[in-house]
Amino acid sequence: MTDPLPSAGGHKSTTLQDFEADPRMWHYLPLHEALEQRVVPMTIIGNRLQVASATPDPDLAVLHRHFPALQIDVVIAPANEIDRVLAHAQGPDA
Amino acid sequence: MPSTIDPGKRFYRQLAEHAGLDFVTFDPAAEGTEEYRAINPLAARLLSEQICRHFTILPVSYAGGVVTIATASPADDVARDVAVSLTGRDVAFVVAAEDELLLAIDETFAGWTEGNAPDPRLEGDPTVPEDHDLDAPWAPVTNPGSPTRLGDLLVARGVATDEQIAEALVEQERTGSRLGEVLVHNEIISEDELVAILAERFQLPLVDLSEYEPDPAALAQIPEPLSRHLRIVPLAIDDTTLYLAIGDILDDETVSALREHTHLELRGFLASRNAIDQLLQRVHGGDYVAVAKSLLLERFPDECANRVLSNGQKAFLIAAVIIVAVLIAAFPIPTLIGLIAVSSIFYTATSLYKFRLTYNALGHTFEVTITPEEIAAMDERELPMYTILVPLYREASVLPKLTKGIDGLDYPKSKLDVRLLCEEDDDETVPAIQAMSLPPHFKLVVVPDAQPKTKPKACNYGLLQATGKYVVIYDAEDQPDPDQLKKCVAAFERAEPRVTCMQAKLNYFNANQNLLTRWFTTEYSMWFDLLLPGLQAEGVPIPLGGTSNHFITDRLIDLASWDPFNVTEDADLGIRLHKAGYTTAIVDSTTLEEANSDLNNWIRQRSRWIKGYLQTYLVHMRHPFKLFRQLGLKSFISFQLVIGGTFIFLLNPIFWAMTTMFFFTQAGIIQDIYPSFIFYAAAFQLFIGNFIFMYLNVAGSVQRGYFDLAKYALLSPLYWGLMSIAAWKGFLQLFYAPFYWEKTVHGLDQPTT
Repeated sequence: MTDPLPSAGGHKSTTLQDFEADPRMWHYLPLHEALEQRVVPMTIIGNRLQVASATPDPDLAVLHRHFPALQIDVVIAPANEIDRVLAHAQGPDA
Repeated sequence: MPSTIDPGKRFYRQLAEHAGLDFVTFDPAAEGTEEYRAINPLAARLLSEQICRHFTILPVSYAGGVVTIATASPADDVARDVAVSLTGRDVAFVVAAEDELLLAIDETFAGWTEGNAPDPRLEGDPTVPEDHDLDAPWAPVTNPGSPTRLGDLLVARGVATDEQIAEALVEQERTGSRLGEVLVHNEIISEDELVAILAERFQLPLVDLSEYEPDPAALAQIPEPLSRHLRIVPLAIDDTTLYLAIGDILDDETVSALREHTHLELRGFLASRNAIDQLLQRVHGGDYVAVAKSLLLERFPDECANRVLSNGQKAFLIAAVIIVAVLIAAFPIPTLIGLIAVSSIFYTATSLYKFRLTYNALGHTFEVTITPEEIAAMDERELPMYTILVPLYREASVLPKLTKGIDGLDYPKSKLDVRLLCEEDDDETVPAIQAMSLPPHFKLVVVPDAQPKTKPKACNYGLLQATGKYVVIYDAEDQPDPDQLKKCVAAFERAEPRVTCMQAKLNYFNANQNLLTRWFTTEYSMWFDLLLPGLQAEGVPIPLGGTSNHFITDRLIDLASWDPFNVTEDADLGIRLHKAGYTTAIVDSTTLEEANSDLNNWIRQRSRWIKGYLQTYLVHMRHPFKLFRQLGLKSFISFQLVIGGTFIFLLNPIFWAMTTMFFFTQAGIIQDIYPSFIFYAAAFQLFIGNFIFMYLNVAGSVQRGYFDLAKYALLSPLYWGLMSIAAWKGFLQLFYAPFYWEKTVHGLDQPTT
């Protein structure tokens, strides 16, 4: 995974080309919610959860509701890379 | 690329912390730590294996009505909704590591797949009702092919149809009751069938308690009040285990507390709640009846009518009689003038006070009024359990009307706890109830034979097993307004916190049967529609009516409930309630009763009432200064005039006799004892007092809308004559049979066949 870089719109961006999702991260954001919002929870460090999204303002209400004290950082990632990670998480039968 | 996430349990501990939930581990190595949680196998079976595996969740405990479910995904709303829906209980989540959770699911359900196997009888798909249009789509609510829920099992076993379950689910949604209770109370399934299905679902053995004699050594392990509270009965015991009959799955806290108390392992056998109640009565009936008799006597001996007069009262009365006798011997005319003067003042004060109360009530609405719109807006899921006590004695003939009336109440049946209280020697009513196969919200309570054989003792006995937040007494022939219970729930919620009793108004359904019932109805209309609301407005003690008084159960028990030795225990309780700092409100709802239409029966009933009022007066006047301090001046005076006013009925015949004698004989002595100032006061009382009492009865009839009865109220003086006959009968009985309960015969409104 490359380090997120500042983008022109104020959001950091990243690439998920080499990213392998830790399956435990789906406990923060259930896969069906992630698929709906087209986002991938990437890392949790302390109280900061980093989420990759294809759009700058995904609806992360479920995260805010269940983890109100968590700081959520949205980073922009190419949509096709997000789809690849989500498809991989769903498994071969999906 | 390396992960930045911590390995092992740390991840899940952090996940729990972020979600604000507890983290738990099932690892035996952690036993003794705060995080360790043993899995309750009964709680685990609240969800099926398939559900647990699919969502990676597992119920681990059940305490205080809340099922705790372990999950690795606290943000999974779908799993949460499914768990809430399928357990039918409140749910709390805790976080566990996924690998531990999967292992725990494996271990929990190992060897427990038999009950989940599809039933071979289901090949014909009995979930579809026979009368269903085959061309129309059918969406069953149950899944008997994979029976994980109660409804699935009932359909799978052929006990209920999918359509019945669907209807019950609608009612469950509306009332918040448990599905099994809804089905039983609607007589879709029997209580025994429900218990059998629950036993299958929770893999518990069943026990038939009908002939069971529990081992006394086992019974001694758990105190009776705790058994009654938990609805459990210890059946047997060995070196390591206590065997219990249980009416429901016990939560973990209860199990732990029982284990700690008994130092034994527990093994439960399911039985129906009614069977457990019956066994508790059979085993502890003697204790219950002792409590029913002596609760008030032991806690507040000075408030109990077990003796008619205290020693102080005896001394006072003997001294008063001697002094009056001596004065009459020495100064006959002045003494008699003094007695007549005192009586006239008392008469006049009572008349004016009652006139004032009823005049104030006319044109005002002091009672608590609940509108039909408020009733319609009530959420039935929020309604509490309601206990109805119905004391019965040799009244088998009114049972069909009674059960029909109670079934007509607009209240969820699964939230009713109706206790039919019968005396042990009542060989008429008890078999009749047993033969009726009543639904389980009706419970037969047989009160063991013991003196005093009174209605309050039976009510105290019934109250011991009451499960309602509120409790009401109805007589066998009562016809309460269908929305009375809901009105009382709403009224209690709205009332100030001190209100402990809601008294519904009483009136008669057979007012026009004969002259006696018409008089009785005008009197009741005055009493319940004007006088009691007037007392409520004044904030003074209200003598409660015999039925349809609704109590907050806990407070009633706290007051030591009814006095079993007082034959108007309701009036007495109204006074005790006020003394304890509580109040009574009148609710704008009516219960129709049967007016006594037979003269002898009426005199029996009225003599008991007057005897009871005299008992009540004497009990509370054992310590008049203390009573004054407890009630305050206004309430003390009200007590003297309303309860003490009963003595007027004893005096009436004496004054009527003197008036008659003077009319016919012009006897000089009568002229002597009525000097002008006494004569004018007595004449005022004769004309104005009688007018007031007639006016009150007319006003009561008009207030109730019984305009055609108003003319009969004008004949009230004849009715008072009957009251005085009853008063003297009751007064004399106070000396030779103070606790004797003159039973009123009901069902006289029906023509005999």
